[in-house]
Amino acid sequence: MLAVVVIGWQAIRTFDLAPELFVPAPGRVLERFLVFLVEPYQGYTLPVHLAITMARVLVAFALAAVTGIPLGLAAGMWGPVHVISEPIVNFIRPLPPLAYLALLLIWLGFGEPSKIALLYLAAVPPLIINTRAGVLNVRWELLGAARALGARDRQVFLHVVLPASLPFIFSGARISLAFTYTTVVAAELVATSSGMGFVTLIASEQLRSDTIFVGIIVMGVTGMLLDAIAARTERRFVPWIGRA
Amino acid sequence: MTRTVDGSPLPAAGSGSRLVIEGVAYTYRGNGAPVEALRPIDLVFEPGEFICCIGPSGCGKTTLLQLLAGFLHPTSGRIMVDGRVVTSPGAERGVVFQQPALYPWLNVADNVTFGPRMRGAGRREAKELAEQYLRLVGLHDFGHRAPYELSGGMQQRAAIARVLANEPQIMLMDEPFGALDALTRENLQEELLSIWRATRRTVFFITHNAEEAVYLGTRVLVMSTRPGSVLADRQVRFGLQAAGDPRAVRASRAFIEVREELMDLVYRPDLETKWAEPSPGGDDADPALPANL
Ligand SMILES: Nc1ncnc2c1ncn2[C@@H]1O[C@H](COP(=O)(O)OP(=O)(O)O)[C@@H](O)[C@H]1O
Ligand SMILES: [Mg+2]
Repeated sequence: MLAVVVIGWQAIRTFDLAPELFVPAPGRVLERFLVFLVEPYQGYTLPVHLAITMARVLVAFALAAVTGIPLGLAAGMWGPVHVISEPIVNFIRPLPPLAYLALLLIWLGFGEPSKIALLYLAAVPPLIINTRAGVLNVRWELLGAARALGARDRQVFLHVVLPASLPFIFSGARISLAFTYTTVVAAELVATSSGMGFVTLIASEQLRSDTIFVGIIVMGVTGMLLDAIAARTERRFVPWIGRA
Repeated sequence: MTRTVDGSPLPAAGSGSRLVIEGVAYTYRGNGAPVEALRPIDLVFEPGEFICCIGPSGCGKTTLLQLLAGFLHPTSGRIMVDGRVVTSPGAERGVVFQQPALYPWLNVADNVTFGPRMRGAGRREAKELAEQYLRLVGLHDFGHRAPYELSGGMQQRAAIARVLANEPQIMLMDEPFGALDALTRENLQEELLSIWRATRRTVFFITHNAEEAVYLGTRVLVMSTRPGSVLADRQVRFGLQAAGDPRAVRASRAFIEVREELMDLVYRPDLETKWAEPSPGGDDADPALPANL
């Protein structure tokens, strides 16, 4: 598959089917990639830009997880929490992140906090919604069995509701992580001076298509790796998905 | 003296709780029209009885079990265990569901010791209990497996072990073998009987299978179509036999007679009158016949 793409790509160059500026040769992109690994562009080398982007994603995702999961659990357990949180979540969720970025910049300034806040707002809705769905979908018999075995409310929550919700929590986390990653590039297009989104934007302004290609490929591969790691973590912690 | 069908004496006197059902009725009130599931029912379960409950689908058997378990509260009347009114589920009333409700995030051994651990058992004690009860249900080699790696019959065994390990006074079982193949079901019936003979805890066992009810129970309740009420309440003796050949028992004339009479009642309740009359014989009836009380 990969070979087909690379051969097709090279063919475009060999037969000059598109201008060099639109589609640089694979060899040139590879060369640019190798150079960018060690030579700074826009202040940092490629690994540093990537690390900055990943740090933003992971910090925002971690903040979303430690707040969104408890909030989702609370919304699933107590109706009033849901009644209050639902309209807020439903309002934020469909908003394109860039729509509120301007406001966040005014409130939080041009530093990292506004970017993290933007990503946080993108990351948290799927976590809250899925975690609540997990609580509501716990099989009734699992709760009844625990109560008939003498478990108290707190124990039922810790030993049954929580683990039984894990499949939903994990799928919420995967959606959240993917969406945060998609959003980070958008966030880095405005008011930043580092990160993969920023690099790609500047490269396009300078018509450096080889760097744009490097940026896109690195972001694509990183996104795939991120989801693969999430999938492995899920299999490790909820091996019973689809089997029980 | 009380005797079993084959004339052997009854096993040790029953232990477990005395359960009293006083005028218990239940009506479901959801969004739609109210559904009257149970008419007022009065029953007493004596310690050590093995009560089987049969009746047409939708007649309120599960509703009755959930009331006894404390998952539902009677619309009227009350349920008492050893003189105390039931208001919520409790460890003295163990429940086995039709689909084994094991926890997939725990291995089989941890599932079995769930109740004791919630009630404060230490690791040492839990390990011993797991060994003891897994052995009892023939799963001693499967403690470290995940529940979903076990067959349906083995899962139901584990669910029964989980309830037994909690040492309830009464076991409430809702069609526990209903989803199993015939052979597995017969094996589990024998195991359940031998466990019950050894412990003589009260069992309330729902089934839609008259043969199963007559074979296992010391007492069979037949329920009417919804709203459920008790059509017949009949003592039987087959399950008490300590070491009968199960196939011979099931094929015996006496067994078939009782089974057919109960089936008639389930499918043709117009024959009810036959049951209203006192049955001949009593505790000392001809041991070749099922004892009628
Ligand atoms: N949650 C519920 N809401 C309304 N009706 C119910 C509910 N659960 C059961 N029923 C009705 O109550 C009746 C008795 O149900 P159930 O006790 O489950 O019967 P059984 O176990 O004998 O098949 C049925 O007619 C069923 O449709
Ligand atoms: Mg039922």
